[in-house]
Amino acid sequence: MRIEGRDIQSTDRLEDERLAAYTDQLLSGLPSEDRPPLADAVDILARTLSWQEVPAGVRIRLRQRLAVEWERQHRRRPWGVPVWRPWRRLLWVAAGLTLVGALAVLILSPTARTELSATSVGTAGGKVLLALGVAALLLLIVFLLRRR
Amino acid sequence: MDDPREPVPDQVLVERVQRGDRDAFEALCERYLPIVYNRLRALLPPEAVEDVTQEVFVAVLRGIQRYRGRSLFRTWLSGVIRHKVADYYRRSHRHSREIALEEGFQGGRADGWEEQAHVRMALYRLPARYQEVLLLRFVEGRSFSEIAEILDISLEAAKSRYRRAVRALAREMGCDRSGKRGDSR
Repeated sequence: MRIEGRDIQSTDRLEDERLAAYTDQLLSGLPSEDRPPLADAVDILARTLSWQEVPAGVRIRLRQRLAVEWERQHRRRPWGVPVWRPWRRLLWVAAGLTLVGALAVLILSPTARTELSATSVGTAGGKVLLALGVAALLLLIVFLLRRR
Repeated sequence: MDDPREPVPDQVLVERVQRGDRDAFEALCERYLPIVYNRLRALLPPEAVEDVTQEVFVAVLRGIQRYRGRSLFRTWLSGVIRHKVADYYRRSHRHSREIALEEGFQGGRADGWEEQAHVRMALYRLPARYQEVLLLRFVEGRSFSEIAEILDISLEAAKSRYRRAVRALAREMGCDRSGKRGDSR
């Protein structure tokens, strides 16, 4: 059984070599007397796939498009630089920060904690949810600040 | 300073692009434009090649900050190309036209245009590892030892993957075991 497996493996390897050699000969324009299985498929591939120089027009239009895109990308503000852009985004950021602040007061203030302990937010699961909510809000703020 | 005789490695160019060096980006585009363009010629109808070439490079520019160098730049780029090709086929209604074409192809002798369309669709449907080896051999004209080096596998493994890829493609095209097309059965 083991010998049989080894035979299959060596036959496979032989077939790999034959097809590779056939392909090399075909692509270098030399005739090949050996026609391994799958030779027809290799012929089709060699006939239909080829290399072509990039037309000058394609190159020029690509360069123009990338120049525009580069400018657009690099107008983006780096981290830490204040954003003085559309008032609507700033409004969202301010609202988000207010909400984060309110939630922080809610979690940290001792009076609120005592009152919260009687509610679902006061439970361990509630606190986790609250913490996740705060994290999500912070992420949203960061996302808004990073957006162009 | 770079030695002008030695090409700057991809990784160095990528790091410069990530720091905002526009010349480095142009050098990277110049290096890979012929490969991207020719790969797309193999996978897309001629009228879509230019647009998708632009989309690929725009995606590279937008995504290069996320490239961490865990794989070779050209491997990462191949992934971008595959995504853009898949996007193209998803958004266009060409798919149904190609299927109709394929049905026609089985029936009789196909001319050059039909054969190309047929190979294109068969290539597109192949798993990435098979598509890659065929594009490297037939489009880029790489030798099997170069393919082995690029894919970081042994020469034997490269030849074996190549044969499996041709077999898979033949199956996609409706060829029999010897590689003959359905119409000659």
